Amino acid sequence: MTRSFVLPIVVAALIAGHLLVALQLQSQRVAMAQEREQLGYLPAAAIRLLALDYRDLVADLIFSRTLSFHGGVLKRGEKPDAKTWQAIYRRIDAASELDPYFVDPYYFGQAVLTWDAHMPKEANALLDRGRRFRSDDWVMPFFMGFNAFYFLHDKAQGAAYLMEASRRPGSSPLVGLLAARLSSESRGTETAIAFLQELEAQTDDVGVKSDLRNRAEALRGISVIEQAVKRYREIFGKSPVTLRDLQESTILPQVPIDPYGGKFYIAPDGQVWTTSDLRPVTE
Amino acid sequence: MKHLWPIAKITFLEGLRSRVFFGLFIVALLLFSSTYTLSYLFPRDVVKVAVDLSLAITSLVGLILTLFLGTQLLAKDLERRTIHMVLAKAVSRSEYVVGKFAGLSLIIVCSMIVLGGFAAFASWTVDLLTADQYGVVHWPTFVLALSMMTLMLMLLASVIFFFSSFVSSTFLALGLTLVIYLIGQSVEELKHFLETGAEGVAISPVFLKIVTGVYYIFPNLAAFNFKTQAAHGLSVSLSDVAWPFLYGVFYSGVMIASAAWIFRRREFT
Amino acid sequence: METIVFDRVTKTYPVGLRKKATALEGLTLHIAQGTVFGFLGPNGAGKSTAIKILLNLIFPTSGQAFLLGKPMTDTAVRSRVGYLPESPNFYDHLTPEELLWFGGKTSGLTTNQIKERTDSLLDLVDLARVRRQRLRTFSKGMIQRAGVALALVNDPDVVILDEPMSGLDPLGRKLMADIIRRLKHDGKTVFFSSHILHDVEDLCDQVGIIVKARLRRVAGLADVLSVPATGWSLTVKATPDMVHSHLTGVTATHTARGGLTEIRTSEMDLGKLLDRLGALKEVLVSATPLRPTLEDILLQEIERADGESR
Repeated sequence: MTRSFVLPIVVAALIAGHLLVALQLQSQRVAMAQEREQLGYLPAAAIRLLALDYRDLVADLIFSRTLSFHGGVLKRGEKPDAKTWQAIYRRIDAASELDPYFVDPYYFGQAVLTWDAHMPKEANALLDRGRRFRSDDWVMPFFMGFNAFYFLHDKAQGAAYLMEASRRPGSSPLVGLLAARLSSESRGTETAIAFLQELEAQTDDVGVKSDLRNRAEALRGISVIEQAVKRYREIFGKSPVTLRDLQESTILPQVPIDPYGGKFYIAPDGQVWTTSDLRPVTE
Repeated sequence: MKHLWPIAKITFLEGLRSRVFFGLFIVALLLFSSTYTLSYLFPRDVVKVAVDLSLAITSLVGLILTLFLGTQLLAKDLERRTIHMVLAKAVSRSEYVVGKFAGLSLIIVCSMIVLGGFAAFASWTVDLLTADQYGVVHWPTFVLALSMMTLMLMLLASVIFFFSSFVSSTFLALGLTLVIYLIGQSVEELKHFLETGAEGVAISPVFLKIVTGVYYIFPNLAAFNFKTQAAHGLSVSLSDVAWPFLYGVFYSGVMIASAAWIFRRREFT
Repeated sequence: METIVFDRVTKTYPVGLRKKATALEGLTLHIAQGTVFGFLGPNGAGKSTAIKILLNLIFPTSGQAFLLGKPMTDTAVRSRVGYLPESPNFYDHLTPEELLWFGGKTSGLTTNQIKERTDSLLDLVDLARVRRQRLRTFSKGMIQRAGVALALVNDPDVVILDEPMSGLDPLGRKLMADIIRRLKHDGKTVFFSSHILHDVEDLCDQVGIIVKARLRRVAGLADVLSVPATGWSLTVKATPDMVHSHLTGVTATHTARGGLTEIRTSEMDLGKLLDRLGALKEVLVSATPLRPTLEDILLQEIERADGESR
């Protein structure tokens, strides 16, 4: 009679043991996977070779994994270091190399490589592929123009890219205008504001959008003060020293508020800037 | 060559009713149903990814189908001696080879029409349910990609036939064809990579010559890949299509003619 | 014109690097229209090889074979030939109907002709009930019968059967025998190989004995079997002891068989023996003339062949 109980008990014990081990194994594998997310990569040529007939799908997969890696990093509240950014850049570049018409890597690259990774040169290198292959897409050269102007401080190059963008179908009419202004303006605050507005319209990412809005608002504040300074000079024949001067002369009754939490001021050389330096001020 | 149709027809029926066929279609259906959910992982190019996925599934299932049915329908004939009953009828060896190939090609074409239909439906669903800002499916290039894929599979089938004509084991014929597939898909890429110079790696000219030789002997299967064009709706000129098409026809022709020639000399104990 | 001709057909296979195995040596055979020819021999003697050469499945090393006057390489002549291979394998997923459609179409029949032949043949081989079932569901005997139907679908003038009775149950074998008889009645030529002597004895007009790749003897069956009797076998209801006493002066052997005794004697002594037994009122159960059976002849040839190779 005892024999009829032994086997079921043994089976039940084995199942229980298996479940425990499986749970343990799973957490170990997850830890391993997180470690692996150092994002190693293969040279583009090797990927192309291995992808065989499925290049486009492999491009999608590489991009998707990079996207979720980046999302995971952000969710954990970490900031990627330079090496990680390099790895992310290389992965997006690989995806774009496999399918140069694929639009997501370019938008993602523009969103993170410029503002967060401080890699505008690499961003433009990536976008250049998009510019060449997506010949009907005006956004590619537009992004490049913005980067050249805003990050690389190369107004001539920025203007050239913008001209190209304006010639492509579907481009916003503002683009040509911006190109022209880039060639002429000295400081370029107005241009920058227009650029930022256009950029915001082209961005899907909510976080980036609000960043751009803040930036545009800060620059608008600077612009307002710059115009006030100009009028002061016209009226009084000399430059104002502080914002007080502008306020007291009723040219600027209200001082604009810096959305980054800093205070606008007039520098000794006459340029208008803010103590926040256009970065969020932390207590 | 008037006995082609009876041979083609029984080959067609035999392949159609095999379990591999049925099982693969079930797998394909399951894979296609994932297209919708997977496409949405992407921010913008949703339709492109849907097309990528559905065409990739079609390609993969079509490949497995071709490899298995191709070996089953010929090499198994030889292994199990079913060929005796066919050749004892007033059917020449050439008619046999060509007729069987016609039957297999018919199965491949019909399968690709069905699989392509599923692929089209999956892509169309995603297209329908997303705003047009995410792109639309360009049907002419989509159909073109499917057609060239089918031609590629028929070429592969002709290679299977060629090997089966002198190799006795189904397993060996399958293995050889798989190797040809892998080489055929990568040789163009490898040759290009070697010619344009690798990143600081020294290339021996002998190796380059070997790869060039391989490029001309082995079928360049990458030439039949129009999936990128289909995913982005890129324009395709007539010569872009005509040359690969002719290449496929000629290469398959050489394979089948050689197989028939080898068969004439072959004994069936 | 003879229906089947083998003209010094030889087939050798290389074994290893230097040696050769001979499957057939100098086979010469002429078979007339309307003959039922039995090709007899032990396994591996070369029967299947000869058939496959005839059907151009194998190529002879030397010599030629002819079917209905045409060389064996002629494809078109096979539309008048029917072939049933040994242990046939057919496509698993076809139905008998489709199989016969294929056989008919490649032999040049029209769809209507095929339909008629299919109906009558499937009835003949008793597969009418399963005409739409896949062949993979068939038993070995059913497949064999399907094979017969396929061989006959084009109403061939020549029917070639390789071990047709193998794998058949007694009912199936009777069916096959009836079919062969009917073919003969219709004036067809039937060529079949077998190692079952009874079938050959039963059905053939002519017999060819092949042992170790060589054709040893060809003769009409009647001739082979109607040689004069070499003796007589009498079975009596008595014990050997009882019989023994009566055998003085008579050349005879006796053996016990159950409750009976078998006495063998020569033709000459038959009369004397019958007298002796009659006088004793022994009961005679049976009396049979002794002739060499086909089995005897075959074994004789096998022994001779063995002797040659030593």
